[in-house]
Amino acid sequence: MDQRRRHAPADLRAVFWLWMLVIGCGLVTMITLPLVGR
Amino acid sequence: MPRVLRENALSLIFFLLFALTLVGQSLAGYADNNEELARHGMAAIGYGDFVTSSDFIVDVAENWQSEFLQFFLFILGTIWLVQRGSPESKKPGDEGVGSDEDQLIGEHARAESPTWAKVRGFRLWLFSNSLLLVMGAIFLASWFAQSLAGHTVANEENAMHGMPAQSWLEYVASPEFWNRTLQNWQSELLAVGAMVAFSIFLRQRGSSESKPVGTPHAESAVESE
Repeated sequence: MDQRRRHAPADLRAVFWLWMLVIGCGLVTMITLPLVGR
Repeated sequence: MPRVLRENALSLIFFLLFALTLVGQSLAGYADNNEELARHGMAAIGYGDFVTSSDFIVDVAENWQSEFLQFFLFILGTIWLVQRGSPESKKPGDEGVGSDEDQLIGEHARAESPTWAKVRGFRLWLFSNSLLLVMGAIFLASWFAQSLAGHTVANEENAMHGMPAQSWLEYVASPEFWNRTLQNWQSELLAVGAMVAFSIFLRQRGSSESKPVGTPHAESAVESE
């Protein structure tokens, strides 16, 4: 089995992590700022 | 268009639209907030101060939570409930989580199936429910963010009107929190329900959200294939 069959293509991983990162960072920011009194 | 852009166009265009509308919301909210401050005879604040304020965050978070609740409920509901004729639904009789064979898991996995579909135990359970779990987690986290930011905003309002501060628990039991929450939930549930019902009889040629135009009304797209 070659590398391409074991791993999803890099562009699909990039799209997935783009959304996960933006949402994750957004949530951390939206929870942290009110807690620090903004 | 390069192949990578064309093959990922749906998520990338929505990402771009999301970024543009979030910036648009921040600019409109900033102007609205400063008009409100002026009406109270208070000094305007800077854009950076506004986008990091609870005033902006509560408006973003209350919309985020309802969108992710919508998908959470839709993913959960479509396991066990069907709507005959809707392409959003499995066909009647297919309710439930499906057989291992249908789901291509364990010994039914293909060579190129994800690793966690081939194993048994906790990893298979986690991967099998990962979409629902992630959507549910984002819903809960954004709803929590809404409650924190809303609490801060409510206490700023209370201070401005010379009223005592509320605790976070008092805020999450307050009419304001539930008004903000339910006005978003109702619209999401309306749109999802309407989409399921309308897609029985209405079509959009070329859209994966629609049955093929000539599919009989009582058949889902899956049956017609």
